This record gives sequence, C-alpha cells and structure tokens, in this order.
Amino acid sequence: MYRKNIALPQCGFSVIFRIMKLTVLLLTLSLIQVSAATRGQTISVNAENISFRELISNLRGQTNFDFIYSAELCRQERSFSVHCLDKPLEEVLETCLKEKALSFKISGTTVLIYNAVDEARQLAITGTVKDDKGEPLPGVSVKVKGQPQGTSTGVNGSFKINVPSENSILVFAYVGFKTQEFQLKGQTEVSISLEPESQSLNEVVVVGYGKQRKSDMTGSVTTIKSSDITGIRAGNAAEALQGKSGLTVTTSGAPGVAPVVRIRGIGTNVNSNPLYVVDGMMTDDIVWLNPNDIDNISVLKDASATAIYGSRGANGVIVITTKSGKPGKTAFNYSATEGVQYKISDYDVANGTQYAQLMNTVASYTNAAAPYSNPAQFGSGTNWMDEISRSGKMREHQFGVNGGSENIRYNISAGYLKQQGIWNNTDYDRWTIRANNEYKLNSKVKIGHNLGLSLANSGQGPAYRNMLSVLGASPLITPQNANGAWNSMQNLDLINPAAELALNKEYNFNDQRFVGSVWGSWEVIKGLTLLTNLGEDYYNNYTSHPQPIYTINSSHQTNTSNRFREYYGSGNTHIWTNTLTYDRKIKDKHYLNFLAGYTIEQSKNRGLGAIGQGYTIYDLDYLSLYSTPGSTANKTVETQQPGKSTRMSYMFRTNYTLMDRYLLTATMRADGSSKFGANNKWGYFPSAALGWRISEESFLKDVSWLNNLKLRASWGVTGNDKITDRAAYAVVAQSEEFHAVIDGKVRPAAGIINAFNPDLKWERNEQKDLGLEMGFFNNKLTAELDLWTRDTKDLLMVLPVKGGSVGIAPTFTNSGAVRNTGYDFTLGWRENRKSFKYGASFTGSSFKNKVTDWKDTRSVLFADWWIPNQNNVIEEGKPLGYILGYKTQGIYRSQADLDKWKAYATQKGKTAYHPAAQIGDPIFQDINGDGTINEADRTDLGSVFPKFTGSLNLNAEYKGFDLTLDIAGSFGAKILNAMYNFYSQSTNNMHVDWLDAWSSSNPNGNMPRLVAGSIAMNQSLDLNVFSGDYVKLRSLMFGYTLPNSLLSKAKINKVRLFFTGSNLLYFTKYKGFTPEIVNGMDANSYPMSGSAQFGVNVTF
Amino acid sequence: MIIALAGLGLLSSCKDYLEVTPQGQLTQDVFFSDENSIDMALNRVYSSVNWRFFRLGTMYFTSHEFGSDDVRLNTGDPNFTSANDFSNSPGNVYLERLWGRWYEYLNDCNQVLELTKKYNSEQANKYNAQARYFRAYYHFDLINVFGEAVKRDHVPTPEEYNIPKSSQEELYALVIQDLEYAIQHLPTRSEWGAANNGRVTKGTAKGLLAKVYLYRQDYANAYKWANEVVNVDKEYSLDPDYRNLFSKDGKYSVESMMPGHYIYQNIGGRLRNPYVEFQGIPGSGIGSAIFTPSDNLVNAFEAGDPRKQASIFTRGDQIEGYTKTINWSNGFDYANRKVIFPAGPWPDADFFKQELNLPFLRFADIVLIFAEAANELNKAGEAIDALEKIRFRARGNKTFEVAGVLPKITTTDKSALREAIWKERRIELALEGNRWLDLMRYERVVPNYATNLLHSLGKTNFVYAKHSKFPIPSVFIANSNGVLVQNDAWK
Repeated sequence: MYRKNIALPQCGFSVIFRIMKLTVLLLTLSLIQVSAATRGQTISVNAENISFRELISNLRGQTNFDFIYSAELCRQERSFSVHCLDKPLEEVLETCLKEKALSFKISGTTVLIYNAVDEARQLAITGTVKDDKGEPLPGVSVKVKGQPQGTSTGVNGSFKINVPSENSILVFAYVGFKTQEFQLKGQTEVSISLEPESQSLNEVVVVGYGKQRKSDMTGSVTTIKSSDITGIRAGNAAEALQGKSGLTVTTSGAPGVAPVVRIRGIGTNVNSNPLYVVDGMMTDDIVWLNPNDIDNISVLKDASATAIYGSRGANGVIVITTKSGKPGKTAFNYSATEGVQYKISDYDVANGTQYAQLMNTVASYTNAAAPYSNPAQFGSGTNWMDEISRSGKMREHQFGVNGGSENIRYNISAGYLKQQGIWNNTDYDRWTIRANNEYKLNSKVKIGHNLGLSLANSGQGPAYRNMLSVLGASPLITPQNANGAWNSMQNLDLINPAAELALNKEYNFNDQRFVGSVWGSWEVIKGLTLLTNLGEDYYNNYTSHPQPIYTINSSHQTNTSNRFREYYGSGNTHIWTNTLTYDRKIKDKHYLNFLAGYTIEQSKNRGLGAIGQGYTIYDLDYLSLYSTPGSTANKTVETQQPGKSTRMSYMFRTNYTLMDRYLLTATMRADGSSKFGANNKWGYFPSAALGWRISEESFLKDVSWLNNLKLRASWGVTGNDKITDRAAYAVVAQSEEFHAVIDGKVRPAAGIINAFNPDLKWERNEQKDLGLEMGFFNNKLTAELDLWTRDTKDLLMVLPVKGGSVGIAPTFTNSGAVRNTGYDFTLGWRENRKSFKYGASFTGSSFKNKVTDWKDTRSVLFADWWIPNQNNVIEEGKPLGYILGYKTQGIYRSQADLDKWKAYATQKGKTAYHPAAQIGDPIFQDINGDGTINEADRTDLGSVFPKFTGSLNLNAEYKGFDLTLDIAGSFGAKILNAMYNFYSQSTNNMHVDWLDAWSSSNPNGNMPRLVAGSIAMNQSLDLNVFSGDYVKLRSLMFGYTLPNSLLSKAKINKVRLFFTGSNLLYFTKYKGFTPEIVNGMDANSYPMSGSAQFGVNVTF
Repeated sequence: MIIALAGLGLLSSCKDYLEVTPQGQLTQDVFFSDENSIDMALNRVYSSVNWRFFRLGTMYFTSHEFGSDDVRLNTGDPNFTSANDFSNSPGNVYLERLWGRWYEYLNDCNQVLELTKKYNSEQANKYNAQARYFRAYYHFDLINVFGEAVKRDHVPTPEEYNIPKSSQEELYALVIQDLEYAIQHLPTRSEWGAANNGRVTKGTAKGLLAKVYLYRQDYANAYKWANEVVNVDKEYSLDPDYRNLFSKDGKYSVESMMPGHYIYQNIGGRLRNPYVEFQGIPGSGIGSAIFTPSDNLVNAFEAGDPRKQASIFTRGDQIEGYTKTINWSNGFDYANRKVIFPAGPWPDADFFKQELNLPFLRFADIVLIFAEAANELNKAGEAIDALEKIRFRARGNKTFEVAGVLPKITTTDKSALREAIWKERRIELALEGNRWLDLMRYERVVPNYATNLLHSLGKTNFVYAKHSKFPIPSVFIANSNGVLVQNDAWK
C-alpha cells in the first residue's frame, strides 16, 4: 500500500478536517437535495464574561448544530456577555459575535465561525505551477506555511490563494515532485516549476490491492503509462504491451480480435492468458476497454507481485487503472483520429502463368497431356488476396471531462471507434462510455465508482476454408462470371472466397459489456483503512447471421434455402472484495503495511439461439425467428451448455521496510474453487520476498553518480483453475446427435462418455526471481534486470487416453510439469536539456521452456480437425508444443537414389527404406538408424518460442515537436507453416516455391514432386518449418503542440496535432502472411496490417 | 455500514458457497436412478446407426468398400485414395476416426451393461441383450478392419485404459458369447412388434452369428444359424420390391434386419445424411460424389438384371422431380442409384438430406450365407434353392421362364456354385459395405482369389498379407508407450 503522505498532502491541523467536514456536508446536502429546517429553533443564554469556548459549548448544548472554527479563535483573548431569551440562533450569533469582529455562516446544521478581520486583511496571490518540462501541473497542493488555508492548482496549473502577509511562504506539494517552498517577498504573482523527485524511485506503482512506492517494492513489475498507449493503433490496449520486458505479445491484425499475451513464457496447457485486473475487477480479456481511458498498466511478473492474486496469478497479472478525476478546473478533452489500415504482407502463391505451369508439371507425373499449352497467355490472372482485401478506414473520437474539487473527482468519457478490416466486409465498431468518480463523504469515508460500458459490433471472422481457398484457388478463375454470378472454384474442397465474404457481409456479433465497480473506503483509525469493492462484469452477446440462397460449390458453399440465425449469450461475474489495510511508520525507521482481505466471486453464463429458414422474402428487416414461415421444421434451436462457478479467497500480506533499505514482503492466500472435488477445493499460495537498497547504505550514500542500487529476491506460488466447471463430476451427456430413432420416432438418449476426476486440485506455479535495479548520473541512466524460473506443477491437463481404445473422453488430471527459465531487462536513458528532451529505452526478454514431466506420453498441443499435420506436440524434455517432423536430406532424383537407400535398408536387415517414397520425393533422415523410415524417425524441428524478444523505444521533444519511435523484434522462434505443403487436391494453387518442384523436365528441382498424397505433402518436414524472426517499426508518432501564445485568446489550453503509424516498416523472411503466430502453427493466419492515422487532441 | 456489509460477506462464506454442481447436466447416479432410465443409455447405443455422426460415411466406406473392385474414387484425398490403391499408411485419419468411434460405441454398450448390473429382471436382460448384440457387431467389425484389436468387455478403470490388443480368437470368443446371449434374451421381430421397429431382434443376432461363422469358415455353424433365420423362424423374408428396400419407406422392410436410423431433423449440428452425402453424381452438385460404382461393377450385372436399373444411375438418366440439368464430370458415367430417389421428397429440396438408410444386415445376405455354407457342406441342392430365392426376387418375383432374364443357377459343381454365389453376393449387395470384406474372405477360401482379381485390374501392389487389414492408427500406437503393438504386417 502507498503511504498516506504521498497520495495526499498530509494535514496536521484538526481545523482542516473540520473545514473539510463542513465542505463535505455542504456538498452532501446539496447533492442529496435535502433542506434541513434550521430556522425557528430558539435558544436562551444568560452569561457574563464567558470565553469563546464556553460560549460555543453553551450554544452547542442547546442546539443540534455543529460549530466549526479555527483553533486560533480559542486561544485568542475574548470574553462574551450574552443575554437573550428564546431568540433564533442567528440573532444570538449576530449580536454576540459582531462586536468581537467575528463572522459566521450557517449551512444546514453547521455553523462556521471565523475572524472577519483576518479575512479582510488577506492578500490575494495568483500564480501558475509547471513541471520541469514547462507543462502546467494541475492538482498541485498550494498552502500557506503555518496557516490552515490551502488550495490546489487547476487544469492549466493556475491557482489563487489568500495569504495573511506579503512575506508569507507558499508550500507546493505534488506526488512525484519535490515539495517546494516559495517566499513571496511582496510578489503577488507567482510562477514556479516543480522539480521531479528522483524519478523512478518515488514513482508509485499500482500493485495487487493497492499501490506501492517503486523504491519499496520487492517484486518485478513492468509499468506502462498512458503516454505509451496513445501511440498504438486504434483498438486494443494489449497491443501496447508488445516488446515490453517479460512479455510475448502476438497481434492478429483482425479487427476486434485481442492480441495473445504471455507473461514469462507459457506454463499452462489449457489457457495461458494472464489475469487482467481493471480497477480491481478481474477479467479474462480487455477487448472491451478503450485504450484512451487507461491511466497506467502494471504487469506483475514475479510471485512476490502476483501471489496476492494467488488463485488466478499463475500466468501473470496485468493490473490496469483507468483515468480518474484530478482536482482543479474542469478540463474538456477531445481527440479525433482518422486513418487507414492496409495489408502489408502477401502469401506468395503462383499467379496465372505460374499456376498453368504448376498444372502442367502435375500432369507430367502421370504422363498426361499438359493442360495448358501456353501458360504465358494467362498473365498474372486473379490475385485472390487482392480480390478480398482493401485499405480499411479507421476513425476514432474520444471526448472526456475531467476535474474535481477536494471532495469530488470525476472523469467521464465517451469514445467511438470504427475500423474496417483489411478484408472486405469485415468491420468493427465500438462505443465506450466511462464514468470514474470519487466522493469524499467526510475525513474518513470515501465512496466511488468506476463504470465502463462497451458496445461493439464485429463482422465475420476468417473461416478456415476461406483461408484455404484464398491460397488454393486458381488464378485462372475470376470471382464472378460475365453475368455477375459467383464462379465456383476448380475443385470441391475450395470455396469462392470473394463470394464468401460478400454473402456473409451481414454477419454481425454485437457485444455489450459492462465492467464496473462501486467501492467505499473508511479510515477506521489513522493508518487503518477498510475497503469494500463490489465489481460486476456483465456481457450480453447477440449474433445475427442472415444468408441468402446460393449454390456455388455443392459441398461447402451452398445454401438451399435462405436462413437467418440469431444467438443470444449472456453471463456475468461478480466479485466482492473486502480488504483491511494498516499503514504505520514507527520512529522513521520502521515502516509497516498489513493487508488482510477476502473475496467471493460467482460466474454464470447461458446462451440460446435459433435458425430460421425458408423465408418468403430475403429482406434484412423482415428476417427474424418470428417471421419463420410454416412448421417448426423451419426452425432449429441452438443450445449451449450453461455454466456456473464460484470462488472464495482469503489473503494476507505484510510489507515491512527497515531504515528505507531493508525490504520484506510476505503473502499468503487461500483460495477455494467450486471446480474441484470436495476434498481439494482449497489451495494455499504463499510467497516471500526480500529487497536491499544497497545505495542507501552509508558506504554508497555519498557516491554521487550512483543514485539507486537495489537487489531483490522473491519466491512464491500461484495457482490456476481455468478449466471446465464439471471435470470433477460424473455427468451424463445428452446430445441430439446421439438420439435413437425407433419406429421412425426420435428417442432421447443419454450416456456416460466423459471420464471424471473427483481428486482434481489446483494447478501450482512456483516462481523464483532475482532482480537488480540501478540508477546512475542523477537517474538519467537506469537499468533493471530480472532472472527468473517458473515451475508449473500439477498441471491441469487432459492427457490423451493411451491406445485410444477406451471410448471415454478423457478429462482433466493434475499431471505433468513445465519449467520456464529466463531473464528480462530494461535499460533506459533520459535527459532533459533546456528545450530538448530525449530518452531511449531498450527492453528485452528471453526464456527457455521445457516440459519436465509429461507422464511418458506425447500429446498434441492443440488440434484443429482440418489441419492434417498437427505436429506441435508436448513431450518430456522438450519445449511445450515443439515441432515434430521429418528431416530431409535432398530428393530422390533417380531410381539409383531409391536403390541406394534400399541397399542401406537391406544392410540394416530391413526390406525397404521408405516404402511410400518415389522419385521426386524428399529423402527422409533415418533418425533412429534402424534402416527404415517410420514415425519413430520424426524428430525435433524446433521450438515455437522466440529466443529473444525486445523493443527499442526512442523519444524526443523539441519546442513543441515530439517524436516517438518504437521498434519491436522477435528472434529464434520456429513456425510450422501447415499451408505451405497442404496439398489435398492436385488442382490447388501453391506457393511459388513449388514452381521448382522436381519433374522429369526439372530433374534438378529443389522442391519435391507436386503430387497429392505423396510423402512430402500434408506432413511436417523441415521443408515447411521456417524462422519466425521479425523486426518492425511497431509504432511511430510525430506530434506538434501549438504554442500557448496562439491559444490563450481562444481560451484553449492545448492543441496537439499528431501522426501515428503502426507497422510502417516490417522486416521478415517468413513465407506466409505473418510471423506473429501463436503456438507456432500457421494454418489460418490473418495477414499483417499497417496503419497510418492523423489526429488532433484539444484540451480546453 | 461497511462493517455490516463485511459481516454479511463473512456470513455468506459458509462451505455451501463452493458447492456448485454442473449446470445443465445431471450426475449419473441422479440421472440413472431407476431401471427404466437405462433405456436412454440404450438409445445412445442405437444412435450408432442413426448416421448422425457426419464422418460415418467416409469411415465406413473407406474401410468396407474402397479397396474393392466395385468403386471408383472421385477425390484426391489420400486418406481415401490410399485405401483404393493400397498405399495406405497408419496415419490415415479416417481409420483413426473409425477406431476411435467404434470404441466409443463399445463404451456405450458396456455402460448399459454396467448400469443393469444391480437389476436382475427380464427388462434388464433385454437391455443387456441389445447392448451385447452391438458389442458383438463392433468387435466383429474391428476384426474385419484391423484384424487384432483391443477387447472391451466391461467399463474400464483408469488402470485399464491402456491395455494390449487381443488376438482374433479372443475377440471372436467374445463376439460369439455375446451373440449367443443376445439370441437367448432378445425378442423376435414379431415379439417386439411394430412399435419397436428398428431394434435388433433374436433374428438379427442369429443372422450376424451366421455371418461371423461364415467369416471363420465354420460352415456347419454358419449353416446352422442361417438355417434358423431362413428356414425355421421365418421372421424375415425378402422384400418383394428390391428397389423399395433402399427407399425411405424400406427402412423397416421385412428384409431389413438391422436398419440404419437416419431421419432428417432440423436440429442443431448435422443435417446431412452421411450415408448419402459422399455419394451422388460427379460434377452435378448432387452429392459430393467422392465415389461412384466402378465400370467393372456395372459390367458385372447379367444382361437384363432388373437390379442394375435399381442400383446404377447412368449418364443421361433423369431424377424424377429434379428440374435442373444434371452435369457430369468428364469420364464419369455412373452413380449409385441406391441413394438417388425422386427429388420431390428431398427435405429442403436437398439431395444431401434424403432420408435413406443402409441396412447393415439384411435377409438376402443371410440367404446367401446359407447358400454358401450349404454348398461348402456339400448340400448343393439347398444352396441352389437359396440362390434361386434371391434371383427369383431379382426378376421381380418371377421365374426365369416368365421373366426371361437371370437364368436359374443349376450347377452342382462345388467350385462353380461357389463362384455363382459370390457373384450373386456382389450384385445383390452392391455398394452396401460387403464387397471388400468378402474379397478378403474369399482369398482365404480360394487361395489368391482376391490377389489375382485385384492384380488383373492393375492393382499389382496389392499384397494380401499386408493390405487385407488396415494398420492400427499410428497415433494410438505411438501414445500407448509400447502397450498397443502394431499388427505384424504393418510393423
């Protein structure tokens, strides 16, 4: 938890609290519109020479009014003589105070008494506060030294304050900056720049259930500020994480599709997505979140940081805080961008002429006549990728209001995003509305809410057969014939991709998502805070899919009657979190922070859909289930298995700092989950971490060039329960597919087809981290390095049933273990010269992944049924999902080659080397040396994990101009390109590499013969495993802020014009759409896209 | 107030909060709480013949027809073509799915037997008898397709998940035991009554047992059980209308002993009939037509055999009620007419959804089994009579004298009669999933019979010792840690 004196200016005077209380009361009353009956109450006083204190005491005794006054008044010598009978309070006060030069104000049941003379005597001071870069600083606390009065700066950094004398001293305090005093010496206008505190050290970092000074942290956390997010392409905030320390982020490029984020490798079989915590609310994704609303992101990497999220921290935690209101003048902010998105990669398939050549080659294998006598006549033919793609427009608007007073803070925003996918008829739009408010009820109690609503529409996604067809369709066929009718492709496996996108253009997914929380905090005693937070994540999806009648391909692209599908899915998660924190500093030496809390959580989901068909007229306004004609035979119900699960957790954490240099964090969390069997519902997740700020030791304290040196070490355990909610139960399956038909009538059926496991328990993730943080030369140069290991044990996974003869679908067991080891680092340089500021940072991560226990089995990492070579496998001693396949050593170019290898086989006592091999096929390597080729000769063709990922960020500012460059790269990953030799039909088009296929007329060809069913096809070979290295200019942003002199007359605070581009440069040798492939299997990828946007941002 | 809230939270934190049973599903002890409920588990067993599983057609025909001389493939998918040109590999995905699926069905059977354990009643016996019939059917098919395979005679414990395969003899022993039990406890067709149309009967079990013995070349037993079906019980008979047998209305024909269950339903999931969808007319959009009858089959029909018209659809033929032009792919002239019926009743005017069914076992098959067994037992007269039954019906229930086609077979020469019976089997049961298995069986009866035949068709790479059975799918061998061993020929 953060220390109070950092977050807020510490107030030493009880009077301040009183005044605050008054304000709160005023506010509350006006807010809730209650007008109390204050008049009409009468009092009687008959007293001679009483003190001010006695007078108030007397009045208070007779009324239910609160009296608020400065402590100073009690000390001042005044005596009062009052004689009145049944007089209204106002009258009494009027008579007895006025003669003593005191004033009062009544509001509701509160009376404020103050020194009228002091007020009159005060001097009005105005001024502005800026930061070291000259940017106005809003929300800076401005106080008069020794006086209770205080204010804070507005949006443009300006303030007004009354001071008692022309020699008063103003005190300016702001988080992250050194507190400064300023002696007026007669000045009435003040302009001051605050100096930042030695930057990174006093940065406050959002951690689990609280905040912490970076200097006090023992955990490994990567932080991303809102300024790092503004440059990213419209859409998803997770893209901003790419290239950051410890993270592997794979972007898909499809609009509305979330990038895949992995923190420190992959340890879990089922679902390795990190946990997202947005304003305290845990969710599994952030597609619903508008990146413009984000204030900061903390990526919690090691166990010291994640253990507090024990149950769900196994794959790392990303804590996101959205923007909150800042006290000061209301600031309106409007930003708009307009841009385009375009494809930057193509799959290099044969063009018209080349395709004809390929087909001639294919014919030559069977000695058939060449089908195309003059390939050159076809020219380039149809480029199917071009036929279905376009430059998509992107548009974004965001309007926000931010401001607040001491007692209310608000940040309200609305955003709109419209993005056309680079494929025709794939659009995405999203509305977001956010209201983050905070209300201070009194000095002890605050309440607030963070409410976010997102309404998104997305179109059809790229279906696998469409991708297959884009690559396989003949360039000699045009999308439409002369009459405008869609053409069918050259074989039944392929569909017309252009038709598919056009026919399904009305396909729409409407996602409504509300994620928000209301909270209240109460400072029970000084340092002890109780916080309760009720969070809700609610979604409602509506899918609609009209389809007209068409028959293009009788097997896969046919719709014999028009159809309309509607589907509704809804679900919610609510989490109630209660924490108690205690923050205490003892004698400046010891700093203690305790956290205890518990949460309860419940998730539910349901869904139902239906398909209607045979509509009288295909009219989008008419299509609905309601208008389905005729009998129920035209209606199909679509069901979904409902789900429900609960969790419950208790957690404890201690942070202890001794003499600002010895740090200790210890965490314990207990989690219960409904998903596990009765005896294993609870899991316990401890962690401990130590830190040593060596630079604070006396022997280093005076080394001027060394500002920070911290060593930290942590150990801890986190858990995972991301599995189906029924794995522990022996459930009976009912499915329409398995009904019997007796005497022509359908008879419902039920069966026991799933194994179950009542002993299932939590997956455990044990992590160790050693970190070093350094700062040199006044912290211009900073460095942070972490070495870590992560052992995932009791993996929740579905082991294949060995031998395949059980007939029961296997279920989850706790088996297997995976180890990830790696390092991540950040190296930063930042310097501010007068008008030139610049910085550079280099971050990198590397890890090795190894399966340490897999129960002597080998299983496929994931399975898409249509991919013939599912060879990303899991096996002990290997990286998770490594590529298994055959190594080749040239091509059999003649019968002599075949004979040579047969002789080799004979010599080893085998009858044949590779029975299915023919001339033109690749020669597989006999890995096990037994003289014959079979599945045992498949070997490791590479790991799908990059050996190194990193990014280089450069930024500079000069007189209103700003430039940010972000270069990201990934090295060492291997990709199995399943499409490269996916050749199920001899007429399929192929990658241009196949032009060099072996044939009798191309006996020295470098590629195997092009024959469906040959050993080179639909198989994983070293020939279709490629390096996934890439380097890209992930983002470039160039901005210009108009000078203030131009704007001040228009009462505009700031205008910034900017250009931002994504993927403007992309370097890769990968032969496919994109080297950014999750899990290393490229079978259905979406091409990479670049984007360029112009924008304006206005604050007024 | 906050304390009160927090207090409430603590109150709710009683143990029950984490007790959430699966939504939308019941646990088995709740669901199958009485004897009657087991009927639903048995219905799941019957679902194996409802063709709802959309790969069933590809799996079934790949393993039962594609190796034979009856089909011509119209696909480049090596998973199909390898079964036809004997380039098969243990990686064939359709065989992999067949293996997996058949064991799922065996599990369904064993689950019924497990559930009935605590009951000792006539009803329970009836459940058991049906489950054991299907258990025999799928084990027998595993023998035919793979040779040696894993035996599943009870619901396994996790320790029994990965077990070695059994020999053919061990599998046959279980098959025979199961069928004998089924014969003992199953009602006859008439005892079941029309309300139970589609269920297996005492006769079905006897018929399958006859077939099992025929495959074992145990002609005495094959004769015995076929005789009971054909001459003793007389519960089944030949459908007077050969073509009707394959129509929508022929599903519960008096000839169909184990009908398929497909009916078109507009429910989620699979709409098409997998038996029909992979057949059809090449190039026309009527069916995927991945296979068609071979010219060799078409030419094998005797002149004037009315079954040719009922079985073969020829280029130029029209489909009643189908108004569009029928285009044919170059080089293809035939289609299987057993799946082409008038377009009027096609659900949604969609060929793929025709409510047609393959009879997995039918009376004509048993009659021919009887004929073959009788001939092998030197009872040529009985064999000739049985054969004539089939040909009589084929002529439209006419004698040769009346019909003028399909002369009565009169030879008493054992080998010639055998040849005639085999020829009759090919024509009568064309494209119903018998020919490939028959050919492999014939090789054992007459050495080199299938080898010579296939070689004469240019398939010279056929080696009986290897290609008569399919390899056990490699994925299961690979993950069994050496427990499941590949059959010798495929090592």
